[in-house]
Amino acid sequence: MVDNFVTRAYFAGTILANDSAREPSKALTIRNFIGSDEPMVQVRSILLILALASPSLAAAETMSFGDAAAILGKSCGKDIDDTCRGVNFDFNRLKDCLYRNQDSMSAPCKANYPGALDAIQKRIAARATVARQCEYEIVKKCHGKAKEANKSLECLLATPNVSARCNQAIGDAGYR
Amino acid sequence: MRPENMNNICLLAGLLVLFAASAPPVRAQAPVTADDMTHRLGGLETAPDLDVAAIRQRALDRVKSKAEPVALKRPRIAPELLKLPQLLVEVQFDPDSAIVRPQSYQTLGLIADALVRAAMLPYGFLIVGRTESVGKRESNLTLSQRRADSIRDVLVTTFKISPKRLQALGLGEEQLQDANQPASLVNRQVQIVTIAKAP
Repeated sequence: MVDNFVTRAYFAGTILANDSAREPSKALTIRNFIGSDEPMVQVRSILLILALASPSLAAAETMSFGDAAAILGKSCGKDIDDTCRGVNFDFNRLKDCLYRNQDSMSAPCKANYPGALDAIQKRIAARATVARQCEYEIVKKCHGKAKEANKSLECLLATPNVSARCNQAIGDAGYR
Repeated sequence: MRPENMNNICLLAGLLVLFAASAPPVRAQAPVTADDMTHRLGGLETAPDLDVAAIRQRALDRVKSKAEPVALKRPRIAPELLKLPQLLVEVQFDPDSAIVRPQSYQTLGLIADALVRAAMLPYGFLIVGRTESVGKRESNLTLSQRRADSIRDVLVTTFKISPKRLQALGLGEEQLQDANQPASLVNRQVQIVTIAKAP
């Protein structure tokens, strides 16, 4: 996360630095970025702020099942009691029931249930990416087969210098 | 104050607000974490020679024959389970039902998180449903089996844990957690027991 933050800040800073280089009369300082009265510089400042503050798509690790399930239970507990009583925590049945009853749903449930269910699906889907993202490490460092990625997981976790994308895939799948 | 400084303050305030908005949500209070669960369930060296169907039959026979009628003196029907790595979790269900209450969704999510960890993938688990000693013994046995099945179903259908790794067993009030207080709710706790290890 820190790496990612630094990377985003770096890229945002680079863009701004390049643009400012076209204006030799002004030094490249934070004060000039933030405090300038010029509209373009202010727009860039806001873009910089947004770039720093926005969640990164590239390095965002998936949400844990525990967190996603907690959001669902807390946001939709009363809605499930009121309109989906008798429906168990079965992904498809619960999703269908919540979707059918959206009109009478509480605002927190309406706002949070799609994201919570989506987070569960993303974490499950991430398992399939490990074989692809870690193929080099599985074959070369763990002497395994990409098709049997699960058998190489403990080796992958113990292997230093695993590629960033492999590391990301392992984290996304919740194997760590 | 110079307009330049005013700009600085406003933009910095905006920056702080944006950072606060993008911060991860505060984690809900949970009884244990997935790491705790992983720690408690790990460490099975040799898979036990456990016949789950035989234990189920043993419990059914005891209930039907009305043996050990006094709950306070009733020995556990499957004491061999206590020697294995395990954890106890509170899962709330609708009354007389196997429907998991939304308050317990997080607990099931945490169990799923633990079972997905790489260190846990070689293991198989037994989900043991139990009840306190209130009501009919036979009904309690049936209800606990339905509840254990329900937890297994959630782990398999919602979190895609391999069904091969999970077995469910209901022991009703034949495996009281606290035999000195047979009616205590602590006896409803679900046991997750590590029972198998892939070669």
